[in-house]
Amino acid sequence: MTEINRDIKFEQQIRKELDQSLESLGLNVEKQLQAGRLRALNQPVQKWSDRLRLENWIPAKSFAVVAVVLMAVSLWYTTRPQLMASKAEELEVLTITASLDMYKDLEMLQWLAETDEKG
Amino acid sequence: MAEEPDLSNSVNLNLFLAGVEKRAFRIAQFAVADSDNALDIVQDSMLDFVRRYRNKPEDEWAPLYYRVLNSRISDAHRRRSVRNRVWGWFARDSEDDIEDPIQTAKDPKGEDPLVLLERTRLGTNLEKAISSLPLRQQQAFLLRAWEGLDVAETAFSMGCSQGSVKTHYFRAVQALKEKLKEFGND
Repeated sequence: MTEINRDIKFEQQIRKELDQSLESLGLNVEKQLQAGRLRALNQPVQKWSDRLRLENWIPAKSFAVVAVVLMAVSLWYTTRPQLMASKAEELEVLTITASLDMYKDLEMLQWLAETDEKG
Repeated sequence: MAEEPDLSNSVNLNLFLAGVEKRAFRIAQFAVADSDNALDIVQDSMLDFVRRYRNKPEDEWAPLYYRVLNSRISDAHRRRSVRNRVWGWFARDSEDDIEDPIQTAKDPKGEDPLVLLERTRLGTNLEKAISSLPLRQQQAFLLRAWEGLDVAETAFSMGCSQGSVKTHYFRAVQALKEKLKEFGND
């Protein structure tokens, strides 16, 4: 027997065996398959106009809205001015533990220093 | 608004699905190794097929139906592999899981698989052999050898090229011969 004939016979036997296995599926499985088939056949047929109805697009619209909101929020966070970035002097004033009276007259002290330099 | 289904179309669809449903169930069962899951897959595939392709020409129904079925089977496989990967983090390999090389070694006698096939009347061994094939080989073999689809129809159903179908099919036949020989010698 050639290799090809052997293969053909081998496949025929497998097919026969698989066909035989269908007879022992059990009543429960057969009933459920039948019920599934009838449910598939009895489902309403959708028309093209139904597919274009507003309700069918709710998930897509919701997704688009969420995407736009996320993009807007991320853009706002990346482009807004850095409010917390303070100058070193301001930080020094904020962290000082000594009396703040001197800093209340800061402008006058700066004026005094400038006139001393000029004088 | 939904329209009433065409009666003659429904009768033909019913005959078609009644003709393929048991084989489809077995194909799904081989792929997922679980009857409940296989039933769900077949029922979903019938719903999806009727919803999408009921108005297609009848000679296109078989490849279209098996395309839907294969897609459902692949989805189930994907879900299972993701679940296994997640659970794999928690599970540890035990010593029992390690295969004994002596037990899995092939019998050097090397009997003809055809003779073994006749002797064992296949049955359980065939189921084990088909279930152990990689999914694509399993699909190619069952669609070609059992369902009788030609190479082009099988390629369409599997969503791959005709060359891939031939390769999967050839490998499946070789693997089945080997496995049946192996199981027959057990």
